[in-house]
Amino acid sequence: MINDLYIQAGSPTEWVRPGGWVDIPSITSADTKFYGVYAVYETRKNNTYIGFAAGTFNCTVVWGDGTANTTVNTVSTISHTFAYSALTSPILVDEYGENYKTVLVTITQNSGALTQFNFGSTTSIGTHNWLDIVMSWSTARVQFIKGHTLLQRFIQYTGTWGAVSVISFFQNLSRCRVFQLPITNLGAITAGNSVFQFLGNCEIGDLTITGSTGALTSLFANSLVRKVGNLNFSSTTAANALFQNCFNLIQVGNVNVASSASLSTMFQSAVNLFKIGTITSTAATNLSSMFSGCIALRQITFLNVAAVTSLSATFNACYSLENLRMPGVIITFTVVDCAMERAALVQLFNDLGTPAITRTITVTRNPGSADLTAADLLIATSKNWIVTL
Amino acid sequence: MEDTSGFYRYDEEQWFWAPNAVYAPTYTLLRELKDTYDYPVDGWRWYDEQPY
Repeated sequence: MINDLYIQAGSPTEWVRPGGWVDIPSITSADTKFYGVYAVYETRKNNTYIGFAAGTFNCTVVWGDGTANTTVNTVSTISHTFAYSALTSPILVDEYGENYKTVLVTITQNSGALTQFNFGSTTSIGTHNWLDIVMSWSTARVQFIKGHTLLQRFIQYTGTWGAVSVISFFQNLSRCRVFQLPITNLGAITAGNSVFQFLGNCEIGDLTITGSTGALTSLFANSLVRKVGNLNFSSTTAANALFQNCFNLIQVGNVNVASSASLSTMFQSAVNLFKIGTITSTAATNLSSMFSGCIALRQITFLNVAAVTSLSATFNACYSLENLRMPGVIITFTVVDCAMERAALVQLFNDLGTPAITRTITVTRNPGSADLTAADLLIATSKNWIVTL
Repeated sequence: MEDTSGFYRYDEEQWFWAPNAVYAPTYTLLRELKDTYDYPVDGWRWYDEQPY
């Protein structure tokens, strides 16, 4: 099986491949081959489409249901309808109580180089009941648009697609529990917007995308991801909405977005986010609503925010925020209704930069607000700040 | 009924509200002394209810 894994989302034990699914043969990174297990339902139409979207190639599709193979040698979208009654694999029952059987689809590249698959593209109207995909296809990239119609799946993927856009690559895999990628794949993303949007309930380890100078906007937005390791996105120019509406997210490691100008809404409405590591955001100017709605988050540590020009609603509804480090900040902001004691507020005052004109910091309704002494307040006012309580 | 009284100031295209106190480099406004100030003080005024 694949050894050079970069991301493994989900632990090996949290999801177990159903025993009734047809087996997938072993595959190595030297292969140019696709295996996909497809769910064929008793009461559904079971027509699927596969887009051979780009390249010069000759491929063979083995449908696995006893029907004739399909040879594809031009850029096209092919369709196939599976017959439930024709399959001899075991009858299974999904979580909604519907009967289905599984079939193994195999695609082999005979010659040339296919450079893009599309599963369920906007022009392919059909069912997309892929359950388990394993592929090694060094020349091709894959899009699973409209994957929200897919059922529970286990996806493994290997191959490289070089410095090309992977927009929507894994988008909408809302029930994906485990996926695997080799390290080289994500390292060269140049425009990675929304790659993992709507991804299912899983955990992701450390993630490095340093080859990207494009935007990683909404990379994990609206996903059900629970935990993410250290993120090194140091070259990307925009990381706004990266984890927006990630309601399951509870923990994120250190975040390096040193070249991103906008981190707006980055963690907005991540209501269960409890812990996040140090944030390197040297070039950031717009942090508006970055943590808005992070009601469970207890600590936020920026390394340097001297370049920031917008802190509008950045900490709105951060009711659990006990500690905030904002070294060098020189623009107006509020931490109203946070959970900072006096020591944390003093630390915040010590971190303040000295703006050229008077700026305002609002610390109203924090537990330590009433405990601030004249000397504490002088730390801020002596640096040209107005403190409102 | 929420108590929305306090010192208010419109600046930087937004309203600021200090229900209890304002500490600035050159002045201080305290709720308990609200009736002693000659408003506006650097744009701050006292309102018994939210003015906007």
